[in-house]
Amino acid sequence: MLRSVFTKTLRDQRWSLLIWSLMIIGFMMLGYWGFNQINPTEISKLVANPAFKFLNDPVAVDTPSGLVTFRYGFFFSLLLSIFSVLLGGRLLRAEEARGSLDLILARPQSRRNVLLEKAGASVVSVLILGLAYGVGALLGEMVLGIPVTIAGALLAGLNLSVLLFFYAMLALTLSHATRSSGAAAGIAGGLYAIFFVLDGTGRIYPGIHWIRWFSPNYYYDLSKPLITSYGTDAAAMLFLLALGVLLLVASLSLFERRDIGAVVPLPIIGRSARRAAETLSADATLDHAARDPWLRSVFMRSLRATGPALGWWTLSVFLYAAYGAGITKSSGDQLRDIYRNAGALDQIVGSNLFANDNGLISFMVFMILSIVVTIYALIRTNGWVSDQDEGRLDLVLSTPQPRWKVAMQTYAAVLVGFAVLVLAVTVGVSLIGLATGLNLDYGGVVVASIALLPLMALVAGAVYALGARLRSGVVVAGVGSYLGLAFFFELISSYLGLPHWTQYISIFSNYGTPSVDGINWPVNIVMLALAAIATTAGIYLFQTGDLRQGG
Amino acid sequence: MTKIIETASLTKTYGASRGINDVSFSVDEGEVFGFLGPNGAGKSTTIRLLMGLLRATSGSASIAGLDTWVQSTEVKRLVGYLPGEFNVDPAMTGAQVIEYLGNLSGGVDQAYVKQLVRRLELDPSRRFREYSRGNKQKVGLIQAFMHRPRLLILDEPTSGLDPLNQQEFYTLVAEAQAGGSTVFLSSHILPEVEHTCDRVGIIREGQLVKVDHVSTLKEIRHHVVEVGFAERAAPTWFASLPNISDIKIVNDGDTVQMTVQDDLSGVIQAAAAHHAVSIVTRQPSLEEIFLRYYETVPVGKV
Repeated sequence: MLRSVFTKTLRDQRWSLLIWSLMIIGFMMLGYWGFNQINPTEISKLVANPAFKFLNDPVAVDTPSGLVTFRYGFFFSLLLSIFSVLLGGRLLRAEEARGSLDLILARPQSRRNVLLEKAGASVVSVLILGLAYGVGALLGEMVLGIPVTIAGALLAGLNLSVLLFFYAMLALTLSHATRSSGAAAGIAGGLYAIFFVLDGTGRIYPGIHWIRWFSPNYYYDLSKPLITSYGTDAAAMLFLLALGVLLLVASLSLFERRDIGAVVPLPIIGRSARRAAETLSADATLDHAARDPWLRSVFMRSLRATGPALGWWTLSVFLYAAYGAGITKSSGDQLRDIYRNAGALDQIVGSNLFANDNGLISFMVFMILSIVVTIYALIRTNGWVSDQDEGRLDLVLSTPQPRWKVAMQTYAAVLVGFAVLVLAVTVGVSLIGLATGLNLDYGGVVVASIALLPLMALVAGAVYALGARLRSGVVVAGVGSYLGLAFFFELISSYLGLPHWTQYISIFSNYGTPSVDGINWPVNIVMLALAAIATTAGIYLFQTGDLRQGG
Repeated sequence: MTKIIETASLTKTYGASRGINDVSFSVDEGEVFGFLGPNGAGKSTTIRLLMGLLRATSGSASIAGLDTWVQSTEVKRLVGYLPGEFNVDPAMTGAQVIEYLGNLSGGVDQAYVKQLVRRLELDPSRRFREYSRGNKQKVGLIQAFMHRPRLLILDEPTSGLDPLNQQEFYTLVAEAQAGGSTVFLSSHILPEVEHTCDRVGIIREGQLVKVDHVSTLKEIRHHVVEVGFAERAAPTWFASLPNISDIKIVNDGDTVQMTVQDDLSGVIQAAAAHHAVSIVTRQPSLEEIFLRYYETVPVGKV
C-alpha cells in the first residue's frame, strides 16, 4: 500500500471505509427488514407531508425498495456527502499542512500525476461506499425474501458514488482557495446545505420546480434504480459525473498554477486577506494580541479554538430539534398510527412512546440527537488527543502550568460546549413546541436534554482515558465503532429478546426515553461516575506519563 | 560555582528502542553549555527529560536543586525552552502565540518582546501555518527568551535561521549570559558550539562520552602531522613510535600523515632520520575532535 500516491491515499482511508461500509450494509438490511413491521399505506400518507417530502422524493414508498430509497437514499446521501467533502478537502491541503506534499513533489512526480492518483483513490473510495450500499440492498432483499435485483442494487450504489464523487471534487477545488482542509470542507458543506434546500424547496413547490436544476442533489434524485418501476436516469447520472470531472479538471489546472501552500484567491476570501494585509506594525499587532481576552488561559484559548465548530454544531442541533418538533406537530397522528400497528418495530421503539407528544418528541428528536451529540463529544475531545500527537502541547507545558491544570482547563472548555448543545436542544424543541401548540410536558423536554450530558461526558471520559496512551486515529476508530454498534444494538436489542442486563452494554439504551419516563437516576449517576473515573484516569495518565513527541 | 543542572545516571528507555543510558553531568550557573551529538544520539530525549516532558526510567535530573519531574512546574518558572520540533494551533498568529505563552508564563515585559520581534525581524501578524521554517523558529526563540529566564534550554536553536539571524541569536545568547542566565543548547553545528559555548558534552548512542571545556578539548594535544619526503615514504618509519595513530601515505606517496598525541619529539627524530624535507602540524578543529569520539572512543561512562 506504500507503493504509490494512489495506494497510500487509499491506505489512509482504509479504516473509515471499512467502518462506513459495515454501517451502510447493516442499516440497509435493517431498513428492508423493518418494512414487514409497518403498514405501507400509512407510510404513504405520512411522507406526503411536505416536511418529509422536503427530505426526499416519496416514490413507491409502499414497496420495500421505495421505502428504503426514501429513507436511506436520503440518509446516506447526506452522511456520505459530508464524508466526501471532508475527504476532498483533505486530499491536498492536509498533506500541505503537514509539509509532506513538498516531499512527494520532490520526487520525480508531476503535480498532475500526484493529483490524478489522489483523485483516483477518492474515486475508488466512493465506489467502495456505493458498493456497500448496493450490497446492503441486495442482502436486505434476501432478508425480506423478495426478488433480488442485482443490477438495480449496483446501479443505486453507483448513483450514490457519482454524487459523492461530485462533492469530493467540489471540496478539492475549493481547497485551492483555502488555507486549511477544514475551511474547504466547511464551504463545501455550506454549499451542500444550499443545494439541499434548493432541491427540497423545488420539490415541495411545483411552481418553482426549476430551482432544483441548480442542485446536484436533483440529478442524484432523478435515478432510483432500486425501484424497478422508476429506474435509472443515465443522462442525469452522466451529467453529475461530468460536473465532477469538470471540477477535477479545474483542480488540475489550479494545482499546476499555484504555489504549494498558497491559495488561489476567491472574491470573498480575497477581501478578508486584503483586510488582514492592512496590518499594522509589529508593535501594533503585539499590542492587539495583548488585549485579546481569549489568550489569557488554556481554558479561554480552548474555548475560542472550538468556537466556530461549536457554533455550527449548535445551529445544526437547534435546527434539527426545531424541525423534529415541527414534524411532531404536523404528522404526530400519522406517526402514531404507523407505529401502533408496527409489530416488532413497535417493540423496538416502545409502545408508550406514542401515547403523547413527549413520546413522539423522544422518538423524533432525542433518539437521533443522542447519537449526534456523542459524535460531537468524540470529535471535540479527540482534539485533545490530536494536540498531544502533533506536539502542540510541548510549548504550553514548557510554561509553569501543571499538566493536570492544562488538562482540566481543556476539559472545562469541552463541558461548556456540551452545555451549549443541551441548551440548543431544549430551546429548539421548546420554541417550536410553544409556537405550534404541541401538548408537551416541558419539564420532560428539559430532563431529556440534560440527560444527554452523561452520554457526552462518558464519551469524553473514554477519549481522555484512551488518548493518554493511544494515538487519535486509534481512539476515534475504537470509540466511534463502539458508538455505531451501541446505537445499532439499541435498535435491535429488544427484538432479539436478550436478557435485561444486556441493555447496559449500550449507552443509548441507558439513555432511554427520559422525556416520557423521567430521568433514570441510578443509571445516570453510574454513567456520570464512570465518566468521572475515566476522565480522572485520563488526566492522571497524562500527568504521569511521557508527553508524545509530535512532528 | 552553583550548579543549575545536575543529572545522575539519568536513563530513559523506550522498550526495545534506545533512549539514553546512565547520563551524568552538571552545568554551572552562568555558563553556556553545548550538547553535541548526531541524530538519534539522545540529545532531545535528555532535553525533554530536563523539561519534565518525559519521565526518567531511572536516575535523576534537577534544575536549581528542583527535581525536573516531581517539581516540574517550579522548574519551568526558571526555564525558557525551545523544542527541537514544535507545533501550535496553525490558525494563531505569531503575536497570538507569543502573547498566549507569555500569559501562561505569568506575564512578560511587552517592551522586551517587541525588541525581540524587531531584532529577529519577525512579522507577528501572520498565521503560524503561513510561516516558513525559519520564522517558526523565530517565534520559538522569542517565546523562550521573552521572560528573561534563569536557564535557557534550546534544542537546535539556529535550525532554519539565516546567517544574519544566527548572528543575532549569538548576540542574544551572549547578552543572556552577561545578564547571569545559563544556556544549555544542543546543536549539530560545531563551529557554532565552538564559538558560543564554554563547555561541551558529547553524546553518542545514548551515552555521554565526553564533557569538557571547549578550550580543553581543543587543547588536548592531538596534532595532525604531515611529514614530506623527497622520495616515496613508508608508514613503518613511524608506526613503532608511541602515541601515534591514523598513519597514512598521501600526496603520491611522498608524504606521511598521522595523528600524534602529546610530544612531537619522537616524530621529529624519525623524520630527520629519513631525511624529511618538510613538517606541517596543526591542531584539530572541534569537528575533528567530535568525529574522533564517534569513530574511535568506545561508548562508556564519562
